[in-house]
Amino acid sequence: MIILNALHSMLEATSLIHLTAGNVFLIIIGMVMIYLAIVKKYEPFLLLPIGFACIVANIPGNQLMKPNGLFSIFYLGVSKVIYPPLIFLGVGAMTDFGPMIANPGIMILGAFAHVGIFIALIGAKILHFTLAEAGAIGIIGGADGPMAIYVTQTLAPHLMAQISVAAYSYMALMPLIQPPIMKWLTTHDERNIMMKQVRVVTKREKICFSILITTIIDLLLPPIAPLVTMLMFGNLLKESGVVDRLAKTAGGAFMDVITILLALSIGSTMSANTFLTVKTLEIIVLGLVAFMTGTAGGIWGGKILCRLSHGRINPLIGSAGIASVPIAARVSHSVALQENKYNFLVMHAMGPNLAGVFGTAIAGGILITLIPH
Amino acid sequence: MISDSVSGAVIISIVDMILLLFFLYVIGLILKLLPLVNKFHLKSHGREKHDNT
Repeated sequence: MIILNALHSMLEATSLIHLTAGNVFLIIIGMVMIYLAIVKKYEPFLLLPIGFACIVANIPGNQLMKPNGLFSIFYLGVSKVIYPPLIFLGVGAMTDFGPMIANPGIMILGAFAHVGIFIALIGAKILHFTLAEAGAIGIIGGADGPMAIYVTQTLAPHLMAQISVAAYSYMALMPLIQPPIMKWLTTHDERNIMMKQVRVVTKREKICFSILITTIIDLLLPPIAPLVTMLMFGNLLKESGVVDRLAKTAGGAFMDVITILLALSIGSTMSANTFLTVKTLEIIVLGLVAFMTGTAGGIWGGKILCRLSHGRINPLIGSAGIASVPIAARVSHSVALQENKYNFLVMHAMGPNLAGVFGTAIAGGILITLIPH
Repeated sequence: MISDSVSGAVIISIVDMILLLFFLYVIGLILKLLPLVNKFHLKSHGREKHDNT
């Protein structure tokens, strides 16, 4: 009897007795994410830490998840909206805006590919989410993780776990989601269009671009000023050519640190008691609809520009307007390569891809401004 | 004040899309004018790099 009591006390001291079926399910989901990251190489920088933190978050009584635990402290960077502008700083320091500056005509594709935001927004409202919640869900269609966190924290912070997980998971799965839609909506001839080399953009143009865009967006759309300002500051570090060390750090080690903290924070929100709800399922479905319709919208925009340019623009670059730099541009490139192994579309697709970053930021800023919260 | 309804969501979507097109058009316009900065000749210690290759 004493031995049984001792064993019972031991069992109570472990986390095993508190483990629910929901926890087990999400631990398996976490393992699938790690499998996709390691074996399938689907955005391992995101899926690996998110999957790992998801497993940890579903082990009851874990010290990391307690109010003053390490993951809870990491999460302050999400709830206080610190990580998104810092991620944008790193993105800016790594990005060459030349392809977008060289081809202003394709800026419009950044709008076409965002039709998914509005379809998800209306869909969420039909499913009886509040307007603020619907706005936050809609922004998943922008395929921009930091922006999704930024808008959600303002409009519907209680949905942060579901929206951030949906946004980052779909971003990682874009190489699976986009190609069938792209192939379905385009003809063989359209996919084969080879685009001409864009003009050379000078360093001076790129420096002026950073300063002008910061000034204009900060003046006209203050709600998204922190993101665009940091994006352009990071780009100014890179393009100025006088602070190479800072640019390399912002786009390298610093970006890696923030990515680790952000991805662990997101994964740590996937605990069974908050995550396994009907609302989560609805948000995940709406997110998928947003990604699919956004891709289709971008392709249709590309087809319109193809007609207007008398066949000089490959419609496949349209789907890259869905932001998510540079994943979407790489997907456009790989679909074009499947048709013609000499058709290198990546630099052309980077134009709408970068326009998509601004598109998501602007659409999100307008949602924050218009929707009462 | 936009109502918390499906029609409110539709109105917000339409307004957002129009403003998004407007802002991207404005940015596109700035990008078209950007090459003008190359016409100003500034004194420099070194030759300017053309690095979008």
